[in-house]
Amino acid sequence: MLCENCHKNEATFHYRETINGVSKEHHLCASCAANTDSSNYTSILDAFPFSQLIGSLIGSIAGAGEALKEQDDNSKMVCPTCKMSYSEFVKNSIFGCPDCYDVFGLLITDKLKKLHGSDTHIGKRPLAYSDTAGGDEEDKTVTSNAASKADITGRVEVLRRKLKEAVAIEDYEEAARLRDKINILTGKEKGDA
Amino acid sequence: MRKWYEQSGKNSDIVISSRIRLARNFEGYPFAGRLESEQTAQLVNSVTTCFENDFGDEYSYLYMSKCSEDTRRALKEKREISSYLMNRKDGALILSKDEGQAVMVAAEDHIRIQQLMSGMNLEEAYDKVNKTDDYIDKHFDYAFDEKYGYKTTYPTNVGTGMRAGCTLHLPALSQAKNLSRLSSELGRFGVRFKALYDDGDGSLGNLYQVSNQKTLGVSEKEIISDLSTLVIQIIEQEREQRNAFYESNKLAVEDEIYKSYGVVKYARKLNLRDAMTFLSMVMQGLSMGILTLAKDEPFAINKILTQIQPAVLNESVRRALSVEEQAEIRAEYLRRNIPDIV
Repeated sequence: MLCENCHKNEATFHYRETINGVSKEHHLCASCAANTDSSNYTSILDAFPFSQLIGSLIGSIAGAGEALKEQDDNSKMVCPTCKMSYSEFVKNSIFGCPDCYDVFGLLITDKLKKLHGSDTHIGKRPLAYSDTAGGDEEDKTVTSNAASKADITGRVEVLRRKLKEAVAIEDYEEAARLRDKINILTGKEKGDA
Repeated sequence: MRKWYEQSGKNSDIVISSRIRLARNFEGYPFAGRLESEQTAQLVNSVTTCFENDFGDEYSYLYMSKCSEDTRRALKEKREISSYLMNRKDGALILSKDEGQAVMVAAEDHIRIQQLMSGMNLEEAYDKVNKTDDYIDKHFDYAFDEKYGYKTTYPTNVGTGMRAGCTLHLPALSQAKNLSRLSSELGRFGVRFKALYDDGDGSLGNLYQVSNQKTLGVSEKEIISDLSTLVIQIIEQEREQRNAFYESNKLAVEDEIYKSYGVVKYARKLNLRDAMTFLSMVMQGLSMGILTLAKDEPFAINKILTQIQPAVLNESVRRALSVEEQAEIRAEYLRRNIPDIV
C-alpha cells in the first residue's frame, strides 16, 4: 500500500483513530510519518490527528519538578459549565462548551501560537462585538482582553434586539438566557458562571 | 435553476471547485460532543424555523433523522455534509436550491456554513457564506472571545473558524511524481494538501484539495489571498508539466487521451477507480484542446464526478446496489452523459 500523504513510498506506518465511533485508518511512509510529528501543519487533518498533536503539546507543559506540579494543579481544573476536566480536554483536545475557553484558554495560548503562528484573532467579529466606532479591520486587531465601555454598550444593544426577537417567537428559555447576559454586562447582577 | 455543479468558473482547466466553510457556535449550548439530544433538537428547530420563516423554499431542509443511511452517505459524497454530520443522526442540513450553500446544524460545530462553487472562485464563495453568517448572527448569539475570536469545538478552527479550499486536477504533476515535494512545500506555508477521493491506494482521478490550516491571527481576506497565490502557482506548474509531457511525445499523450475517452464513453462496466482514472484523462484532453466537444456546452465535471459515486448511484435507483451492479450503472450513466466529441 502506498503512503496516503506522498502516494509515492510504501506505507509502513499504520494507525487507526476512532472518533465518536467513527474509525479511520491512516497509512503513511516512514518519511511522511516522521514529518507528521515534527511539522505542525502538514499533519493536522481537519479534526483529529490534531488531538494527538495538541495532546502531546499540552502534555509537554509538564517537564520536571515545578512544571509537573503545575500540571498537577491544572489537572484538577474543571469547566464549571460543562464539567469537562483538564485531562479530558488534553486527551481529546476539544472544547466542551463556550465557557471552556475561559477555563482552559490561557493554558494553551503558547500551543495555539505554535499551531497558528498567532494567539490573537484578527478579522471578522460578530455584530455584538463589533466596534461601534467602525474602524477598519487593522484597527480592530490590537484590542486588549477587556472589552471597552463602547463595546459593551454595542453588545447590550444587539442582545436586547435578540431578546425582543426571542420573546416574539415565544422562545422564553433563550429570552431568559439573553436577559441574564444583558444583566451581567450592564452590571445589574453578578453572573454565577 | 442551474445547480452549482452545472456551472463553470475561472481556471476550470485545473481548479475543479472552490469551497469556503465557516465554523460557528452559539452561547448557551454545550459544543457538539456534549449536546444532549433535547438540546440538539432545540438547536436544529430554532435554526431551521428561523430560515424557514425568512427564506421559505429558497432552501431545502433535510433532517438527518429522516434521511436513510444511503441518502446521508450520498449527501456526504456530494460534499454537502461532513462525515460527522452523516454519522450523527440528529443534525440537519439547510441546502440552497442550487445546492451550492450548505448550512449544517449540529455538526462538529453548532453551525457550519459552506459554499461550493465551480472553478476558482474563493472570493465570491466567501461573500456568499459571509452573507449567511451575518444573517445568523442577527438572530442568534455567537460564541466569541475577544482574544481567540470565534469559539470552535476544535482548537484547529478557532479565530476566523474559516477553511478555504480548492479542488485541483493535477494529472501531470502526479505523473511527474512532484506531489510529495509540493505537499511538504505547501505544509511550510500552513496549507494542507490531500487527495479528494482516496481508496487507500492513492488518489482517485488525480484530484487534490488544498486548504488553509491557520485560522487564528489571520483575517479572512488574507487566508483567501494567500491561498489563491499558492493555487495560481500550482496551476502554472501543472500547465507547464502538461505541456512538457505533450511536447515530448504528442502521439503517446493523444493516444492515451482518446483511448480513455473511448472507455468512458463506451464501457459497459466501470469500477470507481477506473472511471475516475479515465475521466481524469478526458478532462486533461478537453482542457488541453486535444479533445473538442461537438456542442459548445460546458463539461459539467463536478456533476459527473458526484453522480458516479457509490451512494449517489444507489440513490439514483433507490436501492442498495452491489459493487457489480454499481459498475454497470456507472458505465451506463457515463455513456449517456459524456458529451460527443468531434
